Amino acid sequence: MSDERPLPWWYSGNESTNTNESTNASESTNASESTVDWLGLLSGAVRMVDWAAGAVLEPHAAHDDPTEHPDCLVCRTLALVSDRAGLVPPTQDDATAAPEPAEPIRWITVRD
Amino acid sequence: MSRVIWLAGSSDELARSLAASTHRALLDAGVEVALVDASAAAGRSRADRAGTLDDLTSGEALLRGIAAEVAAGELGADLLVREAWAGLSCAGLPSAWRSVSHAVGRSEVVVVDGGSLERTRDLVVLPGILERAVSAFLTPRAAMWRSPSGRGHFDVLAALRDEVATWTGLIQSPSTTLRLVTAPESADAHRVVDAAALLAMHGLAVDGLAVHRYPRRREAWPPDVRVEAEAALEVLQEGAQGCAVWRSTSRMRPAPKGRQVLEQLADPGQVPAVRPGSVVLVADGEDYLLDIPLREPARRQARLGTVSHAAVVALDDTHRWWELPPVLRRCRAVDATRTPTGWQVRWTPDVTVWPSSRGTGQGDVT
Repeated sequence: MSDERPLPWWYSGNESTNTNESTNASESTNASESTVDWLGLLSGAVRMVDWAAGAVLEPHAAHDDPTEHPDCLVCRTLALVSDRAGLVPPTQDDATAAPEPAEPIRWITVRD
Repeated sequence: MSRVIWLAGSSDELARSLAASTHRALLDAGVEVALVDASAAAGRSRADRAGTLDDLTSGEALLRGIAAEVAAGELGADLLVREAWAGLSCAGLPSAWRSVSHAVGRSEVVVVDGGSLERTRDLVVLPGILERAVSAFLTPRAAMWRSPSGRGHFDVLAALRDEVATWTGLIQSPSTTLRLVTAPESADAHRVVDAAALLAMHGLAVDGLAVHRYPRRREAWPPDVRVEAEAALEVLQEGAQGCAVWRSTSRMRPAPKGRQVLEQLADPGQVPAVRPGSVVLVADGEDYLLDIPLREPARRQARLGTVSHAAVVALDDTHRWWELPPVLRRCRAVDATRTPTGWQVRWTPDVTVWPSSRGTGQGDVT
């Protein structure tokens, strides 16, 4: 009978108790590297959000009508989504645009 | 689908008499029959007793979906004086159609009193016009405005188009036939023959022509009346083109002697009418020949045209459109000739729209 209790599968701190040292060592190393990568990604994402807020959202905050700012990424997206949803009526240009003339009937002479 | 016997005459009274006698004969034969009054008189009576547009005709909803009422509703305008609008003969047309289509399928036989020739002409021409007009409104852009409730303008128009298509189907059904009656005067008989040609052009096949009331030999009618009646009968016989022709001497007879009211008085295959299946397309080498059956005088007087993917036959200010089969949409009509039964139109492949390897049937077209 041994007092030593089996380690949980997720515990990697006591390397001497495990016979498969090399495997645990490599897993431990990978885990520490993975943590560093995630932090790096997270910090990069934060920088992107900061950049987006400064370059896109702050200028957009002053835009009232999305259709008047076709260069603004947010305005263009909003206009596109609103138009697809049928929320925006046709613009004045659409309403006053001259309809295409109807195709005339091409008459054919019927011979005896 | 019910057997539909459509009746019209050179006057409202003649059509009503023929409808009543047809209805009576079918009842006597034990047939389940419905009599629908689609004449202008029915529209007037409805208008007389209606106080508001809501009580008038279901045609109001139909027309609201098309143009004026929609625009007026959107703009808050009152374009139409409703009682005056109800007095227009056209306001009763959709209502009459709905009465007919309501009866079809609920009775074994439906007898339609189509009233005068002019009234029946309006009724028969209407679905074709509406179908094209409503379809023109149903654009992809309009579809983007479809209402989630299903009661938006687009949805109303789409439902209307489907309803109108059932009217067209009823006109062109093989189980629908038209019988016309004329007064014993040659001028009226000519009008009946002309109407038969126009209505057949719109798909309503004629199977019987009658003259009423024809003077009996033993009756002392003035000689000129008798001569005129004989002339009218002769006009009908000359313009019959496969139809049955009969005369009634006292009570209106709904069918010629020895014939049953319900039977087809003419062989449907022998009666010219522009219906699905009667317009025949055959290949002739690299060309195609389209045979269009037409009655006289439509065969001589009508005009033929093409527009977009449809063929058009025009006569007496009416137009009959029908969508061309896919193969003819890649062809041009190059020649049309009159045949004993109608027209034959020659179509040749249009090299500008055929894939290059099939333009000439021989090789690439450059």
